[in-house]
Amino acid sequence: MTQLCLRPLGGRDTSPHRHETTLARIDDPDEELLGRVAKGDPAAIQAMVARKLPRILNLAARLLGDPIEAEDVAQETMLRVWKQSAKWKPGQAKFDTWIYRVGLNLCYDRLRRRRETPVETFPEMVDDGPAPDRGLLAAETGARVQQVLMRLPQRQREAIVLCHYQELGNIEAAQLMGISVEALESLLSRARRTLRASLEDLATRPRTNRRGN
Amino acid sequence: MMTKDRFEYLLDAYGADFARWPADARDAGRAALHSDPQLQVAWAKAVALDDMIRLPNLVPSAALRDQIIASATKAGLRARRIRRALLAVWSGAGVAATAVAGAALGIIIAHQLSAPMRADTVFYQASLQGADDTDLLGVEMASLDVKR
Repeated sequence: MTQLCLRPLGGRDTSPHRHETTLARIDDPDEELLGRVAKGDPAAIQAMVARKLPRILNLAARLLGDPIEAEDVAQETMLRVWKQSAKWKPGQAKFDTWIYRVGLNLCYDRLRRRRETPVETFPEMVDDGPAPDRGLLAAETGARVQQVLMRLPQRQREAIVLCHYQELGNIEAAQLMGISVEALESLLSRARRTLRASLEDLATRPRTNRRGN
Repeated sequence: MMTKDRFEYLLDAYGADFARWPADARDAGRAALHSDPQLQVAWAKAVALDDMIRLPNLVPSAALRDQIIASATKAGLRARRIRRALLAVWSGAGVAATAVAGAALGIIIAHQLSAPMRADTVFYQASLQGADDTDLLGVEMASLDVKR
């Protein structure tokens, strides 16, 4: 019979924290996968990318209004995921919340840099021609919505991106933004009101792609 | 029963999809909606707004995915050559033992190895202190206890 005793390499520090009985241990759906990532499991690395990359990419795209910058943020975020995987202390916070925290901070940095650097125009997510994989109206609408989103105050945009587009729970979103749930709800209501006012003309525009209308 | 004011307050903030509502208000919200025609009017407007503010979901490109997977090596999840360790596993050990060893070491050993996976490389988590390759290889060899 063959025995293998592999010593864990650069293992996560678990001993002092496993004995913390005062905090309720949270249920983290990413914990198992993260453990395998830390061990360098290639399949786990791929699975983590599949699980998290789309969400971070969309978060950044919606906050920054620029798909190229969004890719940069996503790459930087995932790099930090790899570096953090071995250091992660499970049981106290959800890893997903940590990832969002990293992504948000990277977006804040870029938004701050934009404010400090005078720029004439920002790249907009607008296509001059029809999008190859979607109807023209849908692409137009999406671009218009993103434009209006970019004109919202940053905190309102953040609130609606986290809650509406990223579908995070209100408690988690409020925590990420460092505000109360009531403050979050106020930001959300204002954001929705502005979006409605700005986009109302889309609803009354004649729809040429529908039969007879 | 949820009050009309409370319903409209939550509707204004979260929109028409109860899945986005606070967890403890979803059932009460649905119940209020079904019982009050006035609320249904307000709710229909929120449905329309939700529809108006739709954004497409970006799908990461294959290039981006590949770059990010490759960046795992930059972060210390490095591929290592462990020919010697593999020889220890292969020699004198049966197929079953090899498979166990392979699984334990994170190597996929199959009769036909898939092209991207080479038998003599495996991803390791580098030591946090940044020990060099030979140190780690030494550690690995010491901990492999293969009975022949």
